[in-house]
Amino acid sequence: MRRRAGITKQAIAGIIIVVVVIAAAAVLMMQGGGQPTPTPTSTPTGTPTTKTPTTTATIGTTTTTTMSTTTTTTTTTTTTTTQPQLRTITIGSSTIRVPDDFYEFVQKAKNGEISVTINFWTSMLPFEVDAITQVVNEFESEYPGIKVSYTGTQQNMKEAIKAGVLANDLENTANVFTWAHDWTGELADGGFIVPLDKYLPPETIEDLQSQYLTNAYSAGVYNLHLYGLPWAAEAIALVCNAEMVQTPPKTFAELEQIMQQYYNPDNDTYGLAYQIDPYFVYPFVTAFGGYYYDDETGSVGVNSTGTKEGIKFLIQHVLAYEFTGDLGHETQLNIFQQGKAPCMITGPWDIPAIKENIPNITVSAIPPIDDKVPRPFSGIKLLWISKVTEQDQNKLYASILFVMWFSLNDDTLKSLVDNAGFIPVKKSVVTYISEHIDQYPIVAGFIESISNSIPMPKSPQMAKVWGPVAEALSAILATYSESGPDAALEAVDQALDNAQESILQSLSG
Amino acid sequence: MGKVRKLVLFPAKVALALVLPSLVLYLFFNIWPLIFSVYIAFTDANATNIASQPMIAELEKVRTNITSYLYSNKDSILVEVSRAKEYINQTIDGMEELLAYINSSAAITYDDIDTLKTNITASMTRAVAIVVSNETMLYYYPGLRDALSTAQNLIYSMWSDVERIIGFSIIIPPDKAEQIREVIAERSPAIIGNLSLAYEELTAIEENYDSFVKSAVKDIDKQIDRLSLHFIGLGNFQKLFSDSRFPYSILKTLLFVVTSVPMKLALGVALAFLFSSNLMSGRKVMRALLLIPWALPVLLTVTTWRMLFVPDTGVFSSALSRVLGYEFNIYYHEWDAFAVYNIVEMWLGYPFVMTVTMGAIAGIPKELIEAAYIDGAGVFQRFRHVTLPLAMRPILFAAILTTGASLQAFMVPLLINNGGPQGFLWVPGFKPVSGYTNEMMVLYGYKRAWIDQEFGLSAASYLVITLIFLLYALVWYKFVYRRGGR
Repeated sequence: MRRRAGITKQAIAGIIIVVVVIAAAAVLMMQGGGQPTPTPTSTPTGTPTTKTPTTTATIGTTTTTTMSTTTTTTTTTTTTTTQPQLRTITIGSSTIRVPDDFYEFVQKAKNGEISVTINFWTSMLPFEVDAITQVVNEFESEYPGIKVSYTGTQQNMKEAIKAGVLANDLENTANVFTWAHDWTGELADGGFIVPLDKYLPPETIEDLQSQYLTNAYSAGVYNLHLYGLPWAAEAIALVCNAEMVQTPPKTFAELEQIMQQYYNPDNDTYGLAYQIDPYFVYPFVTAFGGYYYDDETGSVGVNSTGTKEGIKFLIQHVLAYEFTGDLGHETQLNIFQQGKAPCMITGPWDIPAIKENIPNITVSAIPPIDDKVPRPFSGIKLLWISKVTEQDQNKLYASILFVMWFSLNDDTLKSLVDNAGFIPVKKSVVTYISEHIDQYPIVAGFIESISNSIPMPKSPQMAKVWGPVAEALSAILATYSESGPDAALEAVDQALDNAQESILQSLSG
Repeated sequence: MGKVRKLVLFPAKVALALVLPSLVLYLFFNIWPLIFSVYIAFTDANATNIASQPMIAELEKVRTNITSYLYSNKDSILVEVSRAKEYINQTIDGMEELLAYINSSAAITYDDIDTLKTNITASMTRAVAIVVSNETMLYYYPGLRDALSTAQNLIYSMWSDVERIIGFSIIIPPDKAEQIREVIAERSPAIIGNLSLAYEELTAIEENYDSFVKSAVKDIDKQIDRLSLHFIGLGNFQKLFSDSRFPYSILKTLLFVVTSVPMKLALGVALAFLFSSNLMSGRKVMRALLLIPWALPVLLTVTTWRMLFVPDTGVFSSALSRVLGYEFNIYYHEWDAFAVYNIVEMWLGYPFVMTVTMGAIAGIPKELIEAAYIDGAGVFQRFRHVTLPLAMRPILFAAILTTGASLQAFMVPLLINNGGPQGFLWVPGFKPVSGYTNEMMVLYGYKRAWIDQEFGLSAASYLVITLIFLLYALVWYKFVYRRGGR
């Protein structure tokens, strides 16, 4: 009677332990399987990876013999520096020299003798997705052998790419994807993207380099490797309502006059619509010689004299004409859309929204302050190839072809300009727009701004800089709203010094 | 007969049997994340080293073979080294030609610049191709890599500036030509300097091949180390308490508990009492409406509250500004935001208290209330001396649970103003630092993980927070539950 068939405490403990053990075993098994097992034999480190077929993809000026597996012999490597066969392919208005097998692949794809599918990911707004879909269809019709699977915008693209590469998932992960260039450092360091110079000889790289604006091309280069090709750029510029401002101001003094004319807070009109955050205030920082972070030297210039002067200038000559109650994007955009401000400083992404309310706008670079040129940040949209693609030679070549075609085909780039307002970076397209400047006033204005711009730093360290700078700006703005401009001017030095200190701490720690 | 069996409604074993399946399922699905989170708290996990397995595997592969490979292919590599030196020399020559051209009195034309640029690009690209090639491994010689990389970046920035100055024009007017001269003259020394440095590094390889091999191995080791997860023991916990931010967040959370819990209780109990009386008509409908804070998603409701308090345009904030006489601003004033947190938390928390109290009040025998009424007690006296004491235990229970909710405050500070205005934080005994003034402890951990991408630090902070909760539960159990009787 006392020994009921019930669940005793021991039984419960036993069940829990068994569950834990099973779960742990399952996890360990998954861990072990997912990692690529290092091959015990001394595979030659000369070939790109152990999984690609050994047709030498690295045809180049170097030796054409594959490296021997036996490490004892020293005389097998004869250096036959035969110049490889290079053929040319034509994309748009460009001719690019490419290695023989790549050329063969391109011909096969054109004739439909081969069948490859690659995945293409973007993370974009709906109107941009439509333009991209059109481009993808054009590519597929020109190269029937390659199918590009593009399903619209991708959520959490960076995490999905990383997860796909970690899981070695060739079928479902993107083979080609695109975003602004500031991801390059992080993706390259983590081994998530493929350097194009691993599979293309110097001649190809040379030909590619001459096709784009140097600003844009260099955004795809990181630590001597070329990781991606640029197809568009964005930077903030001065957008003015053509009905309130007939010709865009050529100097900052002119702009200030306009701002003074329209600034009347009692009437709910303001001189300028301009959101304040570290990215947006950068032109004023650089105008006075300041900077946040230097990619090459790794130095942080948040509390340099130039930066401090730039922010002080911003407070005295820009903030004074703004609606400082809410300096966020939505509110400032609203102010401009409702015609309460003559000008707005923003990027191409806002143009569709602005055009809904204000049909006539002018776009120009932010005007110089005396002889100081304000240089905003630019984001260069790059096309990268993910690491998993290396496993399949055909997919790899298809991806390289797609990346090259997308960024070099003049008709494609022009259609992107017309349909979605993307600002091109290929030299021939930029020249075309300059010759037809009447048809493309907005794009020309942004091109002007981009040519002044400084590409965002690629280094992953930059991620640690944005936060403290945003905090410093916030503190300065808080002082401005509570105690007025003079107190804000005094707070600048301390706030930027604090930010500098915390950045240096987090970079070293 | 033996032990005396306690008279209970259900034996404990039945309760355990009902709970066991859910416990097992919970552990099964969460055991790995739980163990992983605890493990991470003792490492220096951050964005670069948390998911770097493929890259590390690749580098390891290179590492195992590199020494033998470099020695067995020494001859071919040295040939490449001399070719690279040739190309670098050509690049330097190209740069000097460019300098000579712009310093000459001849006018600058676009075509000439383009030709010079093509030459420089051609030789530079080939030099770089040799260095990054898998077959020479020269990439792993840090001095060479850095010098060449710097030279390349400087060359790019020089051409960017030249392109900016030339703009769209084919013919270059004299003033622009002057700007181009300046830009090129300014950049060239550094470019040539770095190229010469790269040349010297290559010569060093030729002269001392062994030291090249050693440096290459060291460089790969360094790269692998940077990408690896390191076990740092209690390092994260030390970091947490090295400055005032985390202690401040704990103290602020405790303050929030002290202010919000009485408010929640007061409102919940008052409303429960109000709706328990027979005086209110349609009270069933009113009861349902009051449960809206419970039923709607927190994200939606708290964001709506935020819009009501936005400075200048929000309804409540402008009303409050008029009443209080100063500008009520949740973005710039710490205590304004704190007050709003309390109001919103009170709105979110009272349905639970109200429900529990109404249940308790319903359990009070009617005769007691009637007896008090007959004795001449007024409404408030009946409430204070009869209803409240009898409903005390359930209310206490509700208070304990709602304190737990306040301790976990995360959505409210995040959605109202992202942790409050920036300010100067100082807790006595810790280093003063600037940070967010309304950052509660759970929000602190969230920011470390999502904004700073410091996963190790965040996991450590959550371990500390869990400890605090356990302590709280222990206090509650020992002093309230036990003492309250079996």
